[in-house]
Amino acid sequence: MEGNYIGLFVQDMDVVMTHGARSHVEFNFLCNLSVCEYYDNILVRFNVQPSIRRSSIHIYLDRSMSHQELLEIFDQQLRDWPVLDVQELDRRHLIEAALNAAAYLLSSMPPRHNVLVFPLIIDIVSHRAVAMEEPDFGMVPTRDSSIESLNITTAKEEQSCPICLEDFDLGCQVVSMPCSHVFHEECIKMWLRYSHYCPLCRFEMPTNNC
Amino acid sequence: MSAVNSYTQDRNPNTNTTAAESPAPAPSKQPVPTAKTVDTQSVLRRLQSELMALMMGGDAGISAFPEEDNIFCWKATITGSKDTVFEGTEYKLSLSFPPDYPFKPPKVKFETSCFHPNVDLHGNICLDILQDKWSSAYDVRTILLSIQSLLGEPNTSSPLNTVAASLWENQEEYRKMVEKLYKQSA
Ligand SMILES: [Zn+2]
Ligand SMILES: [Zn+2]
Repeated sequence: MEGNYIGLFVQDMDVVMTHGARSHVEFNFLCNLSVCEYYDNILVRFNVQPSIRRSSIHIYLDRSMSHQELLEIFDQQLRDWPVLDVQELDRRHLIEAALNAAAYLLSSMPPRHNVLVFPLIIDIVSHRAVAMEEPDFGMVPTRDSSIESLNITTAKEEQSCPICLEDFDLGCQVVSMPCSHVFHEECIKMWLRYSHYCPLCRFEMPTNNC
Repeated sequence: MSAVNSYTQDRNPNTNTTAAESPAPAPSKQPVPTAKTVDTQSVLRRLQSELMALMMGGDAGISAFPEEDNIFCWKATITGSKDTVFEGTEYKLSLSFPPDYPFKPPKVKFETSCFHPNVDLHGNICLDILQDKWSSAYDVRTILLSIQSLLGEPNTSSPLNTVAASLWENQEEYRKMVEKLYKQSA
């Protein structure tokens, strides 16, 4: 559940009309941050932080700049944002999106405008799992040593694993439980870290307590 | 749960440029796994195969389908079984799957109010297979069938709804109550 949603909006573009060639483009960023907190996948709190107005980015068009240079200017600017939740990958997407928007608008503008101002609104919705005690549903895991000493064989018949519901590939590693029920090795080992019962017949495996 | 979307809104009165849309980059991050790491892809595959099985199975009186944009949240319906006080009533439920499903049970709730000894006023269900008796071999189908049979065979010894539990003995009165509340909620 943790992660961010980032939306980028270009709003009410002001274009200063003067004669002559374009000289620069200005991006004004406004950042809205909302935080959604989840407990066990259920939204328990939602709050919107006050908007943060940031200084604008100027891009001069009389100097030729490569795409890479532009990316770096944006990246620099976003680096010191007080938005801790913006992940590296998200930030790169954000920068790319801003540049794409700019490129599109620039190409669709008559060449007479010499300054373009883009007010960009960035909505960041951050999803966080909150640390509350996670219910364990009263399940008791299997003792580690019993998980390690399970009888591993290779799949023979055409059967499917009752945990992931997928067919066994012939010759893949499977575990035959003491009750002789068969599962993928990975699937049953994961299950026994949650429970000490066979998923099919509730055959009881040893726990740490006995 | 992460995505970067972008769109532009050009409302400049000086030009006739229409709203422009820049390409939205692909979602960038998988949900953060819990301590015991369960691969998200395998959870998705399992939910998809359950959905297929449910659609092919055609069990009477139960149905379930994921929400439009989130396969971790399903909506389900259960019809009260014949010859029970719930006959002819239909209940909507929601299922929300944990990121480590099927190693943990989904959260199942009644969305339609249900007057039943083991269902509280918020729709929470007290059913052992959704708690300590959960097995990774259970699926949506077995859950819904279990809830359907719980409707007709409540556990009245440890009820969540004590009024319902004490009325259960009188099946005729109980039926009237179910009908009355069902009409109100419809
Ligand atoms: Zn498996
Ligand atoms: Zn078994």
